[in-house]
Amino acid sequence: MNWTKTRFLAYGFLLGSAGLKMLTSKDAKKVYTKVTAAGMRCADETLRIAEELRENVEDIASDARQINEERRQEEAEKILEDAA
Amino acid sequence: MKCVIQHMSEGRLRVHVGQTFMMPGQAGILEKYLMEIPGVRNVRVSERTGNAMITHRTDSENILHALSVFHYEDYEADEADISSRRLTRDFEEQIFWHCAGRVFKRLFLPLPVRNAVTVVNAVPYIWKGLKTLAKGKIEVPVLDATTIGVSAATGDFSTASSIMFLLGLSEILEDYTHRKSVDDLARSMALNIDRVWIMSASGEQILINVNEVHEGDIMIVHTSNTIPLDGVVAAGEMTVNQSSMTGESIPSVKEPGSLVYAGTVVEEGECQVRVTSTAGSGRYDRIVRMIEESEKLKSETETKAIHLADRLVPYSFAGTIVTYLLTRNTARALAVLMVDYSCALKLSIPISVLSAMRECARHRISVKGGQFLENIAAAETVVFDKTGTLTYSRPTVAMVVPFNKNDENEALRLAACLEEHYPHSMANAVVAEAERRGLMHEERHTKVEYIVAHGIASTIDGKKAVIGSWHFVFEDEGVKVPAREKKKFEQIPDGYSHLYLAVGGKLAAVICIEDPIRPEAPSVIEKLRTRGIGKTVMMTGDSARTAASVAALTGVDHWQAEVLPEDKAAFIKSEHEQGRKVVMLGDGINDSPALSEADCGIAVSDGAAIAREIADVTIADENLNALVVLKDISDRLDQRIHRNYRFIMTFNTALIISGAIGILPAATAAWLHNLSTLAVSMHSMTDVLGENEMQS
Repeated sequence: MNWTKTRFLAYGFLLGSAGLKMLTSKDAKKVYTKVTAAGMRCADETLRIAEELRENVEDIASDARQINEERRQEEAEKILEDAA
Repeated sequence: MKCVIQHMSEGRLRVHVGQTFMMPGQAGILEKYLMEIPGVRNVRVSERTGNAMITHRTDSENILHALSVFHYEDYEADEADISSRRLTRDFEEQIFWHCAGRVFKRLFLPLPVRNAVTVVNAVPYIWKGLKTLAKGKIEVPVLDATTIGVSAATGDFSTASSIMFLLGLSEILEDYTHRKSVDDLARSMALNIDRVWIMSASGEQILINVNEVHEGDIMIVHTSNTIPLDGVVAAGEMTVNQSSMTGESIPSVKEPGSLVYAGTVVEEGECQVRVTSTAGSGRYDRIVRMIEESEKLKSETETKAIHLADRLVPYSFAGTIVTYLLTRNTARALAVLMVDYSCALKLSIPISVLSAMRECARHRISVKGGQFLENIAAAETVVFDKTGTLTYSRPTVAMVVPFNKNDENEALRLAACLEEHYPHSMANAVVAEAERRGLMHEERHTKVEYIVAHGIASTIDGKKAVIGSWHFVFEDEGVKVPAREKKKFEQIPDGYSHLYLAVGGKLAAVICIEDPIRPEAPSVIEKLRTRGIGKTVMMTGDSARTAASVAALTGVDHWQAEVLPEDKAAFIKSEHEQGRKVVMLGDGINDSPALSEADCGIAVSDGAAIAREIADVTIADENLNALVVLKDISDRLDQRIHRNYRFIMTFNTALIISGAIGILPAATAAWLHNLSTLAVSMHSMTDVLGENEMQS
């Protein structure tokens, strides 16, 4: 007797009957729902972090622009001083 | 409201407001509230992080104070804002899950399962390709199907799956851009009427708030009114322009028993309509459906480049076959196929156009189709209407000169009585002045007749009353200036626009209306000139006198006065014959023929509803500078499309050659191609006009 093949046959049979029933039972559904909800929370959190990152980048850009603006102002003033 | 300042720099403030992840509607309420604070330039509230990003001109003191006294409960949520934010959130989530799915697949699924999944995913693409082939077209879906199918068939599942991943990403991007544009367009086309004329039980006409109208009430609509609510015609006859609902430009005739729809405009006639459904959000949904069905959006974004893209597909195939014959190497031949110009062009160009349209919307300019931006960029002539366009749409009455022993106030009362049914800017001035002087009136007149570009005629107490332009009152109606008062008549100052009121064939009064030009008009004309508009023209139905002075002040190249609506359209046609593209700006009923004839008709939002219906672009701003912004956006869009085109052609050709020679393996070439396509598309979603450049 080929035990490997029989074993697989047995597993398949179990899966088909009891196993499938378990996987589609109401309790299993509750588990899936909770997992999905957790997954969505995870998605929200990731997207929030991404958004936060984007805001921080905008902060940095705005500060950088300000620095350059101030530098240009100083340069302009220096030239005026020299000319006066 | 408790807030935490996250970041503060000159002109930019980032504040964390209350909680994380705001309830639906809260972000919109906060945004609106902050926008109204003086000194605030721009506000963006992110509902995910609970942060408000505020760019401002002045100190942050008053903004912070305003935030501290803010409560959500004081305000009502805006439905349109909620739905549009949900759109964006759905899009972000779709992208997330699409990428997460791929990561999961790569990390967790064993190889045989992964390959099986790839094959299953490939089926829809292959099916679509076969269907396109069956129609006899060799287009992009065929290309996609071939690359995916051949990769899978040769066992290169990883390439097949990466192609599908990137294609899926592009689809999500395109779908989102399309939806967002429809949403923006629908919101800008939404109704903004707040008051309705109702026939009361006693037979009087009264003006009430649109929210107080009940089902079964009889509302009265005239020529040029926008119908505020859905209903059934109870009495009267009229023609209605329903292009905003059904897309048909031919006006439909309405008789007792006909259905009429909210938002359509009465072209001619008057009716009493029984209201069947009161104000609600049903109209918004209908607009969205109409836009989708009419394919207005789709057809307008198909510029020449798109057609070129489709025509390139057979060449891609040809190139592939040639490469295969020359090299006998399927991998290299495939590399050529995967690097197709068409999908890159087809993706990036509509996205650029739709993005530009949305950018215009952010500047409060509503553009109804992509090709109008194209036309504006190519335009060489701009035609302006005078009243309401170059001048403020809110002229004021300077003085009333009575004749024939009429009392000044009585004459004004009478004039207001006639003028109040029509949304012409001069009419509004008369009505406003009467209100200001506290002159109430009952509806003593019979049916009011509006004669386009001339004036209004009606009967009062049995006598014929007319009010309108010189041409109408003196020439058409034959009214004469009383001999004794000729001197008084000649002394009326020239600088004003004149409205003549006559009762029973005798001149009753001359109403002088001051129509100051918008202060920005001269500089706008100059700016347009520097941006390539060779000819600026002003055409007005007003008298030559006033036209001349306005033309001199604004600096237009040509001007014509006492122009009839058909003349305006005829002028535009003559420009077309010279091969020039024309942009027309107008605000009144008498501009409709010209607005349709022009390559791009622009309506100022303060003007007549029918102008806004027919126009291709509506400017909501009070400032003519919006026109310059529009021209800039159009020009930049044009540049962007050309730049994208050049980039896509050169980059992909380089990839093809590398793939064909063998420097680059097929998979890498495909990846680089798809990645560059995605990059170009995402870049095309950014603004064409930088924030800092808005000021020039």
